[in-house]
Amino acid sequence: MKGWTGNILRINLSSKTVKKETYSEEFAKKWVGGRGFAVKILWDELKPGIDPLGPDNKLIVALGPIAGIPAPNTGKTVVAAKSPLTGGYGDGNLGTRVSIHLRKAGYDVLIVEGKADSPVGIYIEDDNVKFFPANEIWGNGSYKTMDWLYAKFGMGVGILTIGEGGENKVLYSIIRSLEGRAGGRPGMGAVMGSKNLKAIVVKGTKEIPVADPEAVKEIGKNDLKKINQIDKETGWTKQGTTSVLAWCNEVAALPVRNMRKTSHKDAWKIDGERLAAACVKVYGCPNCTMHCGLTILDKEGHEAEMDYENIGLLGSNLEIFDLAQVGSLNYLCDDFGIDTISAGAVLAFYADAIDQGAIEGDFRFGDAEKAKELLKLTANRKGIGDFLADGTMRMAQKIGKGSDAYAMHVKGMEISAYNCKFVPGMALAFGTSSIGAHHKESWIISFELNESSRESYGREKAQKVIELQRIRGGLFEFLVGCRFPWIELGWDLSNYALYFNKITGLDWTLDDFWTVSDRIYAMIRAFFVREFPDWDRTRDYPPKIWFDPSNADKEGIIAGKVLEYDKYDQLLDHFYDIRGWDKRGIPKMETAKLLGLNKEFEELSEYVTLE
Amino acid sequence: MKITVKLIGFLMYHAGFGEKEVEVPSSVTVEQLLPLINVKKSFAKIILRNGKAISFSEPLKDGDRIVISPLFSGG
Ligand code: SF4
Repeated sequence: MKGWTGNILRINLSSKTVKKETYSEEFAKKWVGGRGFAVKILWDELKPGIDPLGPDNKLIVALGPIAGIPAPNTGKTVVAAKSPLTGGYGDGNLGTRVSIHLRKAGYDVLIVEGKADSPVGIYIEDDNVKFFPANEIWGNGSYKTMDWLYAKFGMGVGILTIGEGGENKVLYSIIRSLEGRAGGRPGMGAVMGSKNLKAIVVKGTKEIPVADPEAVKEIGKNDLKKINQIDKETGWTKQGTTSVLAWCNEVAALPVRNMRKTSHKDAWKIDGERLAAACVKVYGCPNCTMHCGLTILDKEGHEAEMDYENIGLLGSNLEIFDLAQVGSLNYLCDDFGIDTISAGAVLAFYADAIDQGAIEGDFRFGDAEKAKELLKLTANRKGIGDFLADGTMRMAQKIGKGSDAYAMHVKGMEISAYNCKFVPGMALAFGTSSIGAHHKESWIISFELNESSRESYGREKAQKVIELQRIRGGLFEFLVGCRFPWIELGWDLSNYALYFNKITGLDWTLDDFWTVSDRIYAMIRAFFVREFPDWDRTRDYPPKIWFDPSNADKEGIIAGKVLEYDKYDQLLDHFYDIRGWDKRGIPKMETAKLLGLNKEFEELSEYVTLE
Repeated sequence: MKITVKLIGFLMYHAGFGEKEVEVPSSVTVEQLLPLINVKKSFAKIILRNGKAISFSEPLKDGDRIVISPLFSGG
């Protein structure tokens, strides 16, 4: 087997034992890597109903065949576990040198089990694994922690770490690496924190086995250069992802005021043009020649690495139109290791609930200083922060009074920066995103405004959502790389089949990848259903407020328009039909069989009747 | 006639402006407009007129607000 190391490193924090295991070629070909490996391992090894923040949960660090190889944008790593935020399968994909080092140390997967009795870190250097006490850095933010780790282990090592958010089990805490890299929105940081695990540090010095080393070397040399040239020609990285903000404002899809509004006259103050002008540094992931981590100085003078989602949620959605202040909120989230998207959504929901008179409090939209204070309380679960740390779904359950209508989440995970009040396809993308409302899996909004029509709830939109899920939530998540060369610079997808084949020695086509994607989507859904056997299609519905005519824009291009339930249901039916899932949103037995999931769905049938 | 052009993302660096009023020959099409403002057709992926997508062959009208954006994903 080439391209895969075939090795899993299993570390138990309760017993402080380390085991090196192998996996078969059949497993590699069936699940490929990243979220494919992670969901299969978690399905097999976790008993349904376990506490995601207890010692029975497992943290998976999973790489794929292209990860760590010096090909375009391969410095990415998948982190996964049962999610404390959604109760289902959760994962994230972040830029980190761990991708290179773990592969060079000889592993594709790291499984962390149990719970340490006091704060620890794990240091992996090739075949050697050591535990080190982390009491000294427990309670520190992620920036200080990373400095400490670099001083101890050397500048070039790969690091995964958490801040106070993860330590205090904020349900939307993330895992951090490098300057501004973060991943694992569904509470992967809290899972680390619940295990008393402050950091994983990796150094690998071996060669990653590939089938055709010469071809892979050429790819590394040429394609990284070509991507850099395209970037120079276009100038994409001048604004990076933040160019979207001005566009969303134009098309009435910007999150403003807890998504009650879809555009704002002051949006220009925090748009890509302003950010590019304020940019002082640009950071990026390893093996990338189109660095997109645009960094500004925040109000307090810290370097804050920004992207569109962060500005959308911490800026316009909170009606904070001061870029330096948005930078401050962004910096605090990164340092605390909490998800910027969920944090912004939580604060907006809190302000909205106060506004609606559903709860008492002194936080208002636009109040950046108070927002900072609340983030600090949240990361430490102090006072009102303990309530905010549980995310919008649980907050709404506590508040009651119909507040669930404007708690902006799907499956418990907060919606990222597209306001779909009248964008049906994108609403479906959030509704059916495998792990809860994430933008990473299916960004259909440009298609539905351009090639389809905004009003349409037609089958073409369901088809497009699935096509994008196969690529974005599939291919890039199981090969484990960054999707931006394809998305932003038009780098052809067929390149990824080429990389895969040169690395593994196999002869796959893109169609083979789509089968793997569909298998993984069915498996992630099975994981959720096993946890929630009363599963029904309403779990794929976006929040009620997007359907509420009284919430329609009063003016502008979508004045008077909102989503409609019966039409959304039709769209969902198309989606299920194309996927081979039943009307509840559960893959049918015959679909499972086609995907080679007979055994897993036999197991699932013990919890729920399958069609 | 006069139209307002807003350019998204890197297109503004190609054209040298982010948003401005442009004087163009009457009933100019999108395709004819692009070279006038220094935007390559291959980079202009989504053209919106007053918030609605239009094609390259669409003739423009006096007072139109045209938003031109390149390929992007949002993150
Ligand atoms: S494009 Fe951005 S997110 Fe992707 S690898 Fe490069 S720096 Fe990382």
